[in-house]
Amino acid sequence: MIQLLAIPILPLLATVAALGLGRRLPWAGGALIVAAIALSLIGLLLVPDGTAISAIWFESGGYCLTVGLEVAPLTRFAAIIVAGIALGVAIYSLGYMAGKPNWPRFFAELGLFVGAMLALVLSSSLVLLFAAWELVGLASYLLIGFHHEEAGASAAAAKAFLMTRIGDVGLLLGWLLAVAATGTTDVEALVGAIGARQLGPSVVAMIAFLMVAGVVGKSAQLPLTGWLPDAMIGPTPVSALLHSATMVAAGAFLVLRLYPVFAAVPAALVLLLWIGATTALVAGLIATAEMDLKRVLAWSTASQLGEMMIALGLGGPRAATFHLAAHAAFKSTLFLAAGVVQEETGTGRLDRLGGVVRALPLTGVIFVLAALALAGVPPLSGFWSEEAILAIAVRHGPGMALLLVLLALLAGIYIGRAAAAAFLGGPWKRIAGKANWAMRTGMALLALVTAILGWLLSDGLAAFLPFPIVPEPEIGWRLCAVAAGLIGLGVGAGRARRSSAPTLGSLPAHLGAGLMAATAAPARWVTRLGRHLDLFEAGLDKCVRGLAIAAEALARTAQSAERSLDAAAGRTAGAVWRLACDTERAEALGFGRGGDALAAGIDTGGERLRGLQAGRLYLYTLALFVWAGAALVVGGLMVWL
Amino acid sequence: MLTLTVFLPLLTGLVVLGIPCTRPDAIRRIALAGAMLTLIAAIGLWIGFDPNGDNLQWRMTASWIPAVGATYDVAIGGVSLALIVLTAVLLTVVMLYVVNDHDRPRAHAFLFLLLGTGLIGLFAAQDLLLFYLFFEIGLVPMYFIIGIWGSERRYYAAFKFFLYTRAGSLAMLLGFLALYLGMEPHTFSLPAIIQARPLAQAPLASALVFFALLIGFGVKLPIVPLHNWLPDAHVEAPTEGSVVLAGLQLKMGGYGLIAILLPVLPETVARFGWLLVAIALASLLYGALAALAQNDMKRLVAYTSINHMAYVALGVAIAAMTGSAAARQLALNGAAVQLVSHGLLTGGMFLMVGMLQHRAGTRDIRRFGGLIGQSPAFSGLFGLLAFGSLGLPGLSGFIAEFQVIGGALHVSVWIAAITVLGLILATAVYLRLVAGVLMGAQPAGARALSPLTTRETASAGTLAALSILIGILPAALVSALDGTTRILARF
Repeated sequence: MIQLLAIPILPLLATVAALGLGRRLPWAGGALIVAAIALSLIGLLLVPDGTAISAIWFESGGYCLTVGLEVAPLTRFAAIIVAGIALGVAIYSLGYMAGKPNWPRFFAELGLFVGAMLALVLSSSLVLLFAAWELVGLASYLLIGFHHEEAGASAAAAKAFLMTRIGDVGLLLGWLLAVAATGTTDVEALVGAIGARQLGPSVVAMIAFLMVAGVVGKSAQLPLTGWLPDAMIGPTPVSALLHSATMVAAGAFLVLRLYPVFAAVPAALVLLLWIGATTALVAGLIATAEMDLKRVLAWSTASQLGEMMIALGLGGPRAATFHLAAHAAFKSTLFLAAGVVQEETGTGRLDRLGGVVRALPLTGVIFVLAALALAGVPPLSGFWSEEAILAIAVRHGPGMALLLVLLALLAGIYIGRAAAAAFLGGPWKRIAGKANWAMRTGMALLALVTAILGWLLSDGLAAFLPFPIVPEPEIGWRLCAVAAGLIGLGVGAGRARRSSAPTLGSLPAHLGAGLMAATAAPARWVTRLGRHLDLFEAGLDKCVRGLAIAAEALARTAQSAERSLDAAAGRTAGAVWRLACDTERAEALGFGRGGDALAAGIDTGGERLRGLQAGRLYLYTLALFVWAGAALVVGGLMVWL
Repeated sequence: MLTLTVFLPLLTGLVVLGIPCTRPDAIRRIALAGAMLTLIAAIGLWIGFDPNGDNLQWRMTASWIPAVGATYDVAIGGVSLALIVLTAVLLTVVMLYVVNDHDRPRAHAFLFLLLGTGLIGLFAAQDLLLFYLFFEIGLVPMYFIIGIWGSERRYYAAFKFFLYTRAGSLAMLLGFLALYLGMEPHTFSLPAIIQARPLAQAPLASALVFFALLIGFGVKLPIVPLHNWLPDAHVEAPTEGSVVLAGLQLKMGGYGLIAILLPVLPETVARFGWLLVAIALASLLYGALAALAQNDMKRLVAYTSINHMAYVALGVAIAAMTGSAAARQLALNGAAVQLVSHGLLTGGMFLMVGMLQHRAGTRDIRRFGGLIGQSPAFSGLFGLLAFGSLGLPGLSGFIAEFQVIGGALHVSVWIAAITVLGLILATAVYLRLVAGVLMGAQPAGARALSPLTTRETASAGTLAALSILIGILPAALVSALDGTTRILARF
């Protein structure tokens, strides 16, 4: 239990440590990340099958949102691929990033990605899967924009996040619909309900189609392919881990994880098949004309992911799983080798490179080894997985088988061209000498996996996966596919030795340019729409202001009316006042005079009397004596009378 | 206890008024302490709250104006509780943010505290007249805050704000009066009105009341044709004013929709459900598209508020329209979480923009770039809040949005599809903001920005941390809401 929980959490803890302590840690936290990934990998190998941990996250209105991790054959297999490739890439990054500015941030973001990706593949809950799905998108955004000051880096990061999010909202609606139907986010509950036919066919169909949108966005299938080549502006270890081996394969993984859902909706699988076939062809063609080594590999990734979609669409989840693993190994190896080339020579342009193999023999050998694997040359890993897909295709019909042979030819051409243009030709003199033991170790580790994974897949791991085994294709088709790969390699390499120009003419280059323009156009339209709305908003503002002005004008009118009323009232009041004055005068003339005289008399008397009461004590005393004397006189007189 | 929480900010405000202006530090500290006490009281309310209890916990009634049937009646359910705690948190954060600001601190602190009382009272009021009173107390201080401490066009913005909100609150008052007259005997008591539903049998009257209340709450939310006051008010308001305006005042409208309009007139909301859905979706897309064209960061964030608050209107419309009680509850929970989440994230975004403006003297995106290398702490917080706002799982916005969208799926997949289109547009808006400010090269002539102070980090960091807390462990919040929405959804 704790072991299981620790698998995704260890890299996240390392991230926190790298963010907090940064440069004080050995390799700026890189060593910690490598150790965390290694421990996670060991944990994955040790945890027994069927270990699961699940908890209720929260309940809302009777819907139960669970979170949980589960080790089942498929989830363990995918998690081992993630952790294994991540380990190689992390070791490589120790050397690649050494001394570059902001390298603690790089390792922190790398740890975030690995933790989220492990949570994604191990999750037994749709909501946790979606959360991890978005978090790997965030990590991808941050890592693509790692050298944000470089021209185009922040635009490429935003493009990647936005385009994948267009798909992600499909996945969001898909799992929300599943929750609405089953009442829980548990993956097993969904699969069980579909197995028991508890859900209506239209609901299941809608879930499947909505999820296809998520698959298309994350796995850079048409029409959401345009972000992947631009993402190559990120540091090369990022391209190797996120944008070839693991994150972009999450789309294919999602179909595998929820395969019963898709199997219940044949139309969704057919859609997936055609999207995959178109993407594989178009991206493969464009790869033959791309002039940048990393971008060749990016188009190739889209093409190979398209092959996985073909396998899934034809009902061959086992073949898709094989190809997912094999592709992760050889493509990350190719990227790491390309990273060495770019670091040592300072360029990734095929028309400037050439003859690098003399300066970098180990890198050259590893690149060629992985290129052979990509072209499906036995006994390397790519051969086994492409053969598995071919077996499914042959069962489906010769048309599909021919398509796969054609794809093998294309893969041979573009990778042969890239390998020859970069490594063969005249000697390359100037070498920076930046490649160190860490880069070589990481690269060699993955190259080893590329070489031996095929045997593992065909032997030990074959019984490991829960999907049905498809018998091997007829020898004729097998030979055909291998021959196509070899011919392609020969054509590509042969033409590239003379010139690094596109192998198949300029048409694929135009196709690529058109594709990129088509993805940029909607963004421009929306921005323009936003600007128009801004104008509209200003108009609305004016409208409101107009209303306010109208109200003010109304108020002014009212005010002037008020004023004239005021004046009228004033005049009336004046008239009344005058009338009052006249009345008063009449009053004064008529009745007043006599009264006035009387009043004047009283007044004078009062004035005189006042003198008596002016507080003169002697007068009071005198008055007292006078009064007493008078009283005595009066009393005497009365007695006497 | 609830009454104490309601009036604690006002009491502190009165204390602040008694302190001489010559001691600005004391004024600021007392205001901060008052806000913190309010927060503690609000947390006390939460501790004593029973998530499975009824909608009228911590109730207190007192006679107020018996002649017209208005009483002082306060009580809280889960939605009110969450918003009261949010108010206390944002009030504290704002008081912390301005703690060193010495521009007429007495009036400033008093107005904010008065506003706090208005908002907490509004979320607690169970009497429509009391609600209206607190509504006005919550609005009027903002007029002065914008008019006094705002930037160049502050008088215009304050006036516009005042006109719009007055018109809205008068419409609301008319609606309340109609409900009052519809009750027999006449009363303003909200629980009684919800129980009696006086206008259920009067289609015309209920439609008129519906539109009156929709205008009243819609101006504050805001919904699209009534939103024009918002960008100007946000742009001209001082940073702390924008935080409160976006973080709290928009919630008045959302709360009104959830706790008054829906339970009082559920049939009428259902009758006009498609109209409300259309308004919500239009707001959702309009807000994001308009934000996409802005170069002024405050304006940009203001427009995204329209986008975010549209989820609340959508949640209410869905809750009225769907027949499934579970979906109804899901949508209402989502709408209520969105109220809280938007308060935290957008409040935080306005703080971050304010910090930039304070340092660089401009809010124009084109004048910034490459801050990741220069100011990692700022960039981390800014990026976190921006990605939270675009609905990244792990932050609160995701919890809100997926529940509303999940509810919408029960009514029509197309509603959900248009909603996620808005989600993509909002993503584009925030990516543009992050790319313009944090990434890329620094534009020529840009000055180096000073690092964040502890005060600034603490204020924005608190909001970001709470958003993450809700994003990772939503159970505490959602369970408190769930009991209330279960009651609200029962009609």
